[in-house]
Amino acid sequence: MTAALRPSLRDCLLVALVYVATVWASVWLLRHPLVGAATWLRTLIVLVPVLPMVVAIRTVVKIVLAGDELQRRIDLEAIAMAALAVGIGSLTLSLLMVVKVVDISGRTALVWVLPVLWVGYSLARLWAARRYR
Amino acid sequence: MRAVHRRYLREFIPAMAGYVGLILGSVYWLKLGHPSGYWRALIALLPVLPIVLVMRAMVRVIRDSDELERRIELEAVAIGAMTVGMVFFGAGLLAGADVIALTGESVAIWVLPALCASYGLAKCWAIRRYR
Repeated sequence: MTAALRPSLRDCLLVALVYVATVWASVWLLRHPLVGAATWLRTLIVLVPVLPMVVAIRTVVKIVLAGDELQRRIDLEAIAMAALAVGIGSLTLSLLMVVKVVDISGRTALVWVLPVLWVGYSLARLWAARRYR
Repeated sequence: MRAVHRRYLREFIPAMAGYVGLILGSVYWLKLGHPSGYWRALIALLPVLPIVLVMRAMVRVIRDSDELERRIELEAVAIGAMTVGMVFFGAGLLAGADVIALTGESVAIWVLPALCASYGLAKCWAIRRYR
């Protein structure tokens, strides 16, 4: 890792923590003190985590674009393959649910999209990096 | 349209058509209740095969694109995937807090359209940036 990338990675981790904290805080507020609050206030609270999300996306894009041409090429192949695999995999999973082969709750499905994307990207990156060695 | 994109469409369209055909066929077959046991899962997973060809087409078009095209694609796909991942994760926490309620089926079926829409919007934005 280059020295120039280290502050960006630190920023990324910090923003991810802020994102998780704001999501948890908004969920807690909506479940407890704001259970019967006005819709506009509940909507506003739900949208608070969007701010760190925007910063996180900017940071990740900055990190990805800071790489050299070969790294960008590897990242592009990896992210594209991971996104397609997750998208098609989810579609296939929904069909398996329709025909009652598997059964997953909505909450579980929602929470697992991001980790699966991340794992898919990491595996695809290893494969792409080996190809360009 | 450049030759590389024409080749991509030539490879992508039949593979996607195969995927759609196998999806419709396998769901129809399964809904009739024909195979049983492990065969049901195997028939349901059959449409994954043409996806390997879709991925191959994608990797080939990426490899043969020019540097600016790759940069735009990278930004678009990174922003698109991250946005979808984070929105779904946030929605999952909201579902856990009983703020929203969704079935597993409805969530799973919307991941691909959400990824495509998010990627499309991010690509429009990235193209404007590099104009």
